[in-house]
Amino acid sequence: MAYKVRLAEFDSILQAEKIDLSKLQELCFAGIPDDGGRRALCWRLLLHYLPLDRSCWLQYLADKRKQYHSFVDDIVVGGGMNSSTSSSSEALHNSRPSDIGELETSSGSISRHNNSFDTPSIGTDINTNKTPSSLPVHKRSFSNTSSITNSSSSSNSLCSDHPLNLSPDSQWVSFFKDNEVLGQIDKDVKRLCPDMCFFQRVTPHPRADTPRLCTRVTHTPLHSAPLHDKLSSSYSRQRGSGTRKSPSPPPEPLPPGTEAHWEVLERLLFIYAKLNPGQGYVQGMNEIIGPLYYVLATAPSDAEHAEADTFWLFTSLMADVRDLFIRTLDESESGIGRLMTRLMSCLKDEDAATSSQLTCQGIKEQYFAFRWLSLLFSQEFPLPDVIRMWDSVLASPDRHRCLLLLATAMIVLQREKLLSGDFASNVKLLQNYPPCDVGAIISKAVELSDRLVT
Amino acid sequence: MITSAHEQLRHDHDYLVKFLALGNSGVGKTSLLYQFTEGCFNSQFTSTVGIDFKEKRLVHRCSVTGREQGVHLQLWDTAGQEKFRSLTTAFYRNTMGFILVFDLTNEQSFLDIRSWMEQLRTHAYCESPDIILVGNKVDLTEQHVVSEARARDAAFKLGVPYMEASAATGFNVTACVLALVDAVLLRMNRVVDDTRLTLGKTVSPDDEVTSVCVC
Repeated sequence: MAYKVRLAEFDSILQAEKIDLSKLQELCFAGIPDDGGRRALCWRLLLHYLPLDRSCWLQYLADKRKQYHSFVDDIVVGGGMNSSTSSSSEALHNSRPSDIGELETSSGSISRHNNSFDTPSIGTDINTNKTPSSLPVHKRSFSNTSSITNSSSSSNSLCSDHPLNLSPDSQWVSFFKDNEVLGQIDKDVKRLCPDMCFFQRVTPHPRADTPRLCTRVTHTPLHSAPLHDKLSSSYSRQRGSGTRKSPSPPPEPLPPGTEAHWEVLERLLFIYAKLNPGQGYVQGMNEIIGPLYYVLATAPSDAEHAEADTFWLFTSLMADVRDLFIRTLDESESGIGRLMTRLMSCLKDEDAATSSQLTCQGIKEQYFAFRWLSLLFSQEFPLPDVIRMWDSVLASPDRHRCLLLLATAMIVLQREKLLSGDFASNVKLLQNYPPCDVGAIISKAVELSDRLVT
Repeated sequence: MITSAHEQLRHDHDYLVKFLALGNSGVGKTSLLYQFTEGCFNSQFTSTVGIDFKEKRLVHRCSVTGREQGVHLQLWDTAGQEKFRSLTTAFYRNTMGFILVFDLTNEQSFLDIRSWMEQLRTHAYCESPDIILVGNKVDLTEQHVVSEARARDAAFKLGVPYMEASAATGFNVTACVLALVDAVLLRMNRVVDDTRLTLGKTVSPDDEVTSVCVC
């Protein structure tokens, strides 16, 4: 019964003409019901993606989704191996000036603390990658002359570009640089949430027109066979091929036109890295985008827009926590070092005994809190628990404070074990947080929030 | 660390030995350490963010003296990506042995060994700490891009021992770690012996150390 009352409370807020954000935050903090895609809708609101005025949703969503897909066209389709850019993306290229204008304003509103690293941000970066043809230009020059005449460089310089060109404006150089980033993303998205099969499954909403990004970084070993059978025996003896093991079978290639969910994440992270060169891609971003995408892609409605909407939710969430990912900001006010120091001082205020136990044993906050805080606890708990915890984190007006309170609560809840454990068992305990009811952690954090100054 | 060797004695006179695994992202550091501590292969690891801790106790027989000693091995696993360097270099100073890993099927991870060595020599407790270079994924023969001869040559130039291993099959994993344990213990014993010689028998503070032998 209480559950139905709760559902009704959510619905009355969500169905209002104008959403009452602070009421919604309050409700969501205590957990969002799994039913009816409410969580996907609430997260879109809590991350300030959807405007509070319902009447502008349709138009707004249509614009944002179109904008995302034009990034895909520019960065993945145009910047990829594909020599025949589709006509639809050409139409978007023609309308680029206005797109850039929109982008600059939106990037301004997204970045709360205007970070000098990203000031040459989205708009500028797109300018430098103006042509959709950042690759095999000589191929393109045959198939798609119109885009060449549109591009900023002269056709002469385009034709002289080649894979061994070392000049910094060579499009090949940037192609290879991109592939380094892509290689890292590829490794990480493939091993995301290995305990559940969701990300390995095929998405019902693929972007079938895009080249498969992972193939850009997959190494195909050269196969060789001996020329003469008679010679082969002596070669194989030399190489000791008798002891060779056959390589593990490669994963089944998906049929053309289909993609797995992890491939969608790969595209999202690659586009994010390209649009935010100051951050690029840092390991752990995959863990942050994972739950966002999962919630949107498994919702009963709008799952076909999960990709585009995840991009904007991720961009918004990263605006809050991206400083934790920038190494040069580690010791700054908003960086990870400072956040960990604040955590330890919270712990000292709340529980001096546990705090001094950790200090005496030489257990530094970096050993556990680095991952807890920078990944918003996403590696500490199973995905459903992470999602529940994020209901509270996303609903908090001050997310850093929320993270600190949750982390303090997590330590305090283990104080008995920590006070009796030695160095090794305590580090292991904090690095492999025992299965627990995340509700208890959240309640403890609420209790702490009344008395702790973070 | 080494100079205070007898301070390291814990739990029934075990030596406490700290190792750090280094190398590019995706070369298999976590899998190697897991194979060593748990004795099996787990292909389902997410990327390491920050630093992870594992431990294992063992009795090691010294290759030179034949002396057996209890060893409490602490293994620290690091994140490979650049962003985490400042976090992980802080650990170098307290580390006695380094397991430097590259992926035999990944050229770049091999090329970057040089820069890992530089990092290591800058931040470690001394100029020439004990290191073992490990070429992982030796079982994926068909995909190798770094030949054994080339890796040996590089290791020789760097002045470090080289071994090939497979976290997947378990081949040579224990051997790699034990080779490093052996090198570290030899060094520790040498320091302890030197200390005893300098101090002379009258002030010998290390009766404990001599009783490390748990035969």
